[in-house]
Order: sequence, then structure tokens, then C-alpha cells
Amino acid sequence: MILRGLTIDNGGSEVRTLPIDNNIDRMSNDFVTIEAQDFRVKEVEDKLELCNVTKAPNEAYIGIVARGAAGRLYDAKAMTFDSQSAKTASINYYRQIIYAIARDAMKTKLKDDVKSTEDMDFDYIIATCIPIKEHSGKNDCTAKLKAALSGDYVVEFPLLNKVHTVSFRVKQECIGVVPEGGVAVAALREELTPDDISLVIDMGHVTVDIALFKGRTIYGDKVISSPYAGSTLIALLRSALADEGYSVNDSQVQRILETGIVKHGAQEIDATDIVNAQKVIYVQNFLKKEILSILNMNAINAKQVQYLIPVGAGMNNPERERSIVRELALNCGLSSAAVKILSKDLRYVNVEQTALFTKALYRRMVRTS
Amino acid sequence: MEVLFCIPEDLYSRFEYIPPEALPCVLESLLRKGLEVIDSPANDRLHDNFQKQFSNSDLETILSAIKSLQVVSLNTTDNVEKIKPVIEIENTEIHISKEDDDDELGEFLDMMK
Repeated sequence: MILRGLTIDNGGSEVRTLPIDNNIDRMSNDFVTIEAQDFRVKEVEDKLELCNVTKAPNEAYIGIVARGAAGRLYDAKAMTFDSQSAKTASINYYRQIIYAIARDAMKTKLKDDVKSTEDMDFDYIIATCIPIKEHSGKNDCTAKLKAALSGDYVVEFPLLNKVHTVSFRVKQECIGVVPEGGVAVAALREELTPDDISLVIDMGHVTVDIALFKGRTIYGDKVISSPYAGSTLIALLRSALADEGYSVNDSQVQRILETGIVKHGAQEIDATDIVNAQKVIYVQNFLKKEILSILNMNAINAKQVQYLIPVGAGMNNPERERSIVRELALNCGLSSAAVKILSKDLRYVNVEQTALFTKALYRRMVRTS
Repeated sequence: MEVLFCIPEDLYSRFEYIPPEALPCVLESLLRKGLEVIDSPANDRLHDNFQKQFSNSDLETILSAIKSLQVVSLNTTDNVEKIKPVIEIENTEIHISKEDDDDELGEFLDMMK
């Protein structure tokens, strides 16, 4: 078997994988399931967008999963998870991860022409991040995740022309789980003193995870996983744009958030003011009270916070006027905290920092094998 | 021909996608940093993986690269006794091993469950 180290960040808007020897692979989180009777081979640009899990440790994982353009070609059922229940309790969460691993395995198999003589092609060592509330909670979600994911898998990619089956094994001891957002603190390991207080705000699409760290450990036992997340900001902006006569869908709103530009027919219209206004409303009406809650719950004054660590696409461009990070600092009394920007694109902080743990786990497993 | 490699895992991960012609540079870089090439039991798994990555002709290239590297290393250092790494090539078997690096994450590794 070929040993593969893979980092997985299964977020609400994207699934991101980062092999220890390659670049980030981004997959839009528009997964669907397709019934076997509804499947037939169709022509798509990315033939790895559809797979059929034929062997898995849990019957519920068996079946066809697709995403992107391939998913839209079939009569399919959306595979979503929401903020109302734990990610690690969702079958869809695991099916998406299995797809991501299988995709990585098949890409490797095709690239390197791997011909395994053993029963399995790949032996995976995986580090992944889960919401900090689930990671630090009392329900032992990490053990549940490891139990749910470990096992032997065989996955077909029926849209491919030639080699189209890949097999892989994931052992429980080869899975490492770190907290979303919290993992970012590891990036400060060279400068963090044991008494430093860091406020980590991980703004995902489905939840905003907020936690305080003292040194490298969570401060107190209170973390917040708020549903007022990226999807809330998108909804606010979409509504504001509709009021101005611009009818746009969620993915277009996401782009407008990043660029400030609305495409109206052939015209490109500067919507920076609308975007900024909604960011301010989002911070003042939604995020501010969550930040103050966690400070109050842990009896911390905002002035005691040394580091503000923003994570997530919504936190990008922190230097700009009316950015969410600036508004947070102004509205929550955090102006004296040092803002730590840990990636060129803050949506990749979790996957990039978790990759350090993948490498460590990889080293550990190789040492003991 | 069979070449046995006992490769430190961080090196292995880099090997996995480095074309054979680039290996001399990688090896030289690692050797200069103190990688020790010794005759020790090979790690079977790494060995198996490595064998699958490269054809015999690739391995020939790698082997000759390492042999030439030895000569280069010796020639560029005045005091042979001080040379680290030590390279021993017996027949066609090459074993490379190295003490594990301290985990760069240190105590932060506890964050991973």
C-alpha cells in the first residue's frame, strides 16, 4: 500500500484537501447523492466529480456521490449539513470526506500509475478539523469521528474511461482531529507565552466559532458556535442588493462580497458601499454580541486580549476600511489587540495549520510502522 | 537490480513527487544538513512505496547520483574525518536513515486528539 498523508477541512462552503506533498484542492460544497437507477455515463469536464462508493465500513456510505457540474446533470438529492446539529453526527459529513479522500487517491493513482499488488491501494493518514465546540465538548466527537471514518473503502469513478476503481484504508490511529479556529493558535507557537490571551474568530459559512485561548489551551470551558455566520452575511447582502434592484444568487453574492462589484447585464457596478454597510450591520447586530458573550462568560476584559486571530473567507482584506476585522476591533474594544493574519487567504488558515498536524501524525505512524 | 532505501519520512514525502533527475540536488541538500547514510535495517513500507514510485532505470539513475555525490562531498571537504554524513555503499544496497526531527509543533501537538 502507498502511504498518503492528507489534511481535510470539510467546511460549509467548500471541502478542502491538502496532501502533504501537494497543493490545496478546493471542492465546492454542493454535494448530491444519485440513485443507481438514475445514473448513466455523461460527458463532464471533471470526471472525478462523481464517484460510487462500493465498499465501506458503514452501509450508509455506499452509493453515488457527485458535486459541481456533474451533480447538476442528474436527478439528485442535496447532501447538506446545517448549524442545527453537530457536523460529526451527520452521515453526509462523512460521505463528503470519503469522496474527498477517494478523489485524492484516484488523482494520485492516475498521475503515478499506481498498481498495487496488495488488497488496498492506499493507506491514509488523515488530520482534519472539526468545530471547536465539538472538539472540546463532552460528547467525545473526535472518538465518534474516528470510529465513523475508519475502515476499508473501494470507490469507483464511473465517468473515467480507463482505470476507475481505487481502494484505501483508514485506521483509527491514523486519524488526527484538531479544533477549527483553535488550530490557528499553533501558528503562533514561536511567539506565544503561556499567559497570552488569544481570541480566535473562525467565520465559516454555517457557523462562526469563537474561542479564547490562554497560551496554547482553551481558556475556560466556554466556546461559542454561532449560526450567525457567512450565510447570514450573504443573506443580508442579498436582501440589500435586491432592494437596490439587483437580483443575484448566493454564489454571486459571495463574489460581490470579495470584489465589491455587481454584474448587471454587461455593466459592472461598484457596490462597495452596499457591501460595507452590510458588513457593519453584520458585526454590530450579530457578531458583536457573540464576542462580548464569550469575553463575559470567561470573565475577560477586551483589553486583556493580546491577539485577535481572524479565520475564514469573510475575514479577508482586514486592512480595508469597514472590513469585518476592523469593525470587530472597533466595536468590541479590541483595538489594542494585535491582529494576526495567518494566511494570504484566511479561508485556508484551518487547512494550512492542520497540515502541520498531518505531517506530525505521518511521521509518528511511519516511526511506529 | 534492487536498491533498498530506508528514508526518513519527511524526506520520503518529498521524494514522492520529485522526479528522479532532481533527486541528486535534494540528496545533496539533505546530506549537507547532516543526513546520515548508514547500513541499517530498511523500513519495509517506505521501501515498498519507493520501489513502486520509480522504475529500475530510475533507481539506476538515483544510485549513480548518490555515488557521484559521495565523490563530490569528499572532494569538497579537506578533513574527511569531519564529514557527516557517512556514506556506505555495499553492493547495490543503500540505506539512508536519520534521527527523527523533533516535532516542530512541540507541546502544541497535544491539541490533536
